[in-house]
Amino acid sequence: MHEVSEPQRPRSRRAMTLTPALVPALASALVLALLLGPTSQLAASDSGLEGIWKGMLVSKAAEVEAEILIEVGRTPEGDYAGTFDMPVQNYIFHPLDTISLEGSKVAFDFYRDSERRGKNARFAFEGELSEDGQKITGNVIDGDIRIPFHLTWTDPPGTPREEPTVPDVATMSDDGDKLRDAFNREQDHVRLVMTLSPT
Amino acid sequence: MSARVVQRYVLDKIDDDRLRTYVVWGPMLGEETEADAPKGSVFLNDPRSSHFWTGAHTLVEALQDPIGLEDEPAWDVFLVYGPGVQWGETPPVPDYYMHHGRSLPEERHLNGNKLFEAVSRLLTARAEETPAAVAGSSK
Repeated sequence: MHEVSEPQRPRSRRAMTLTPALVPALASALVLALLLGPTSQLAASDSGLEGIWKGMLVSKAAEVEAEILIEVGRTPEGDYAGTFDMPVQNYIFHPLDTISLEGSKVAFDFYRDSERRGKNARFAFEGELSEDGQKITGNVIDGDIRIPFHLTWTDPPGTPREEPTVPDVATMSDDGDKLRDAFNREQDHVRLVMTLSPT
Repeated sequence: MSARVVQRYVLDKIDDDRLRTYVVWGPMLGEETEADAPKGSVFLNDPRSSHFWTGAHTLVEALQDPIGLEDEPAWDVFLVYGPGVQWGETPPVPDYYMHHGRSLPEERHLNGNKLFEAVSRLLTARAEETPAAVAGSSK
């Protein structure tokens, strides 16, 4: 029997692989650096945040949860640049505006229109990097709301993302003929029927 | 988000081929079209799952009565049926149900752990009733 081990994060600094997906984020970071000058240099001496981090936002456990992914690399100048994904909200490769690591304190933020707070609202991640550098836990600050998150380092930046498989969807008549047929055909099974919006 | 809760707490945790899930995607919010369906189905991907699109509210209106939902179509509901239940002229009453944001009891609000327990109970009950038939059917 083979033992399957968790991917371990390399301790040494790695050069970022420049993928097309990271280009907008890098451009964004470069523009930010040019606009703000030397004070915008973000923890360039530390490789602590580089990588792909996967985890969850947990507003209410087992009820309101969302998978998230943060990818952090570096610009050629050594600044952090990165993106944020929350697929259930169709956030894919959303550029992060600032990324910092001071001691074990981690901060990311990005701006996005918010139904509750209007246009260009700030969403901030504030967290703590674990001693072994493998995990970040903290809160996402959405105005006056704090939502716990946790992230685990999984891969170096630039690692190709796995393409999700999209299951086929059968078109039904209005009365649900195909559902009824499948339900009755598989009547010796335990069956879970759910009715959802795809958006 | 509800689809991911079902995937993580039910399908990922219950490795049993005696379970089937049927996901009906439709215009719950009013403007969704069939072209949107893959945006949802991608979040619930399991060989035991079948996905359907309905462009009307006929089916979800028919599902109101079995769970005692009076004034709104049964969108965002999760209905669990044990073996042997058949769908005749009208949808059958589920053995258990949960909902998300409907005017139904709060304790039935979708919770992955509770849904997992309800499905597991029915699978266990079936195994106890027909041990010979079930042997070898699990994944």
